[in-house]
Amino acid sequence: MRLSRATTFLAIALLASACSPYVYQKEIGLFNKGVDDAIASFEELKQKDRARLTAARDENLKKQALRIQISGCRELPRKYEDGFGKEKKNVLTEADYAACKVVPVGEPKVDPVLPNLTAMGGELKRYAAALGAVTNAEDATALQSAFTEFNSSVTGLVEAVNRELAERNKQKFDAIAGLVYQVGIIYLNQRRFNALKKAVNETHPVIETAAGFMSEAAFSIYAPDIQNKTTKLLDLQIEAAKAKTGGDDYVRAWHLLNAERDAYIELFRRSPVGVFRKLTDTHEALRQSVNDPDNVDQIEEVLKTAKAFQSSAQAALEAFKKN
Amino acid sequence: MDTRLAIHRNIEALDLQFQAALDSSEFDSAEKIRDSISALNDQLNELSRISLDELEESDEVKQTIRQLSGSARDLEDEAARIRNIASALRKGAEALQKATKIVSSLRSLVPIG
Repeated sequence: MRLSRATTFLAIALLASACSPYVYQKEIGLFNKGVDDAIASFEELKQKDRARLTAARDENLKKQALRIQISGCRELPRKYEDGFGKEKKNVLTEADYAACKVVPVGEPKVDPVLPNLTAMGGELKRYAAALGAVTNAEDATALQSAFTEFNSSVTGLVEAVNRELAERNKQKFDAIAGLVYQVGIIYLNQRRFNALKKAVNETHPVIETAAGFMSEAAFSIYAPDIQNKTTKLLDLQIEAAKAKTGGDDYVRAWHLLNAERDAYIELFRRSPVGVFRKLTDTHEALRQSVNDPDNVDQIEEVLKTAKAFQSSAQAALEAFKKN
Repeated sequence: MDTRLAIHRNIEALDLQFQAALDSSEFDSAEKIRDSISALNDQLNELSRISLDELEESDEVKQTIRQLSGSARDLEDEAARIRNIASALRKGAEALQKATKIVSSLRSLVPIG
């Protein structure tokens, strides 16, 4: 009986203070999708960087006077067979593969493009997915159904034992399983909410830094597109100024310059650099909300910010896919 | 950034000269100014490359990757824990059902004292 009262008290205490992480499932889902699209945009930017590096390397190769040959590859078959003979495995290492190369090697190197920044994008995606996993309502449902199953099994056992105890005229057990069920669910929800709150608070400065770096990288990769377009506009202005007035050439030049002007403006419009700032804003709105979970306005603010972030990240990605 | 902005200001100043050259149909002069603007744009591109390479190799980026990875791992562990608890509860329920059967069958085997 004493145990039963203590459990009831604990259940009431937990109910009074419990917070659910599952409230944020939709908002974090949008955040997650936004991060995915933002990183996919960055991947598209990297393709531009790769193309630029390839062009620069090929230009440099044109200036080379060295005979083209292969170096450091001769020993590979012998080393491979010798290693297999001794250890029954492939003993060749990444260093062996790297030593086998075409000379001149071609500078700048094209692959891998920005491996660290790529890894950082991957970790941002992983973090957003993990936030989603913690707020996954399906997990909560699975847990509740497991608790229900456990609860009815405990009840069945208590009833069976009680029947035996009644036959022996001994004191019966209280059926406390229902309360264990309630306390268990609330405790686990609270614990998961605490995990979410701790992660969002502690990681926020890291998210801010990572998003800032991604934004800087996006700015640097994107800048040459703008500079190159500026030069193109100058060329067309010279052509347009040379065109005689009152004729088809004049109209053609006008159309060409207008089309180029539109493309120039579009380049600024679809710049992906602002997307990462929206990522930080969404995370900040979420951080404020988990610190004040009773504030309904703040939960709505998270949803609004997450929607804005997700749609701008998607727009940036679609713009890249079109071009 | 200061260097970049200074270059942009130079480009803007050259663009004014470029427009003036076009207004007076001095095309040779306009083409020379265009080349100067292009050279400045090349400098901007070069600065972008340097910034990107410095960022890519910076310790701050590597440290941020580690921190993000740690946060993601903690959350993944927490998410896995709930699934593990659910699975442990199901196993517990199965064990309890077996125990209930044993207790019920005891009635027919053991005489009540």
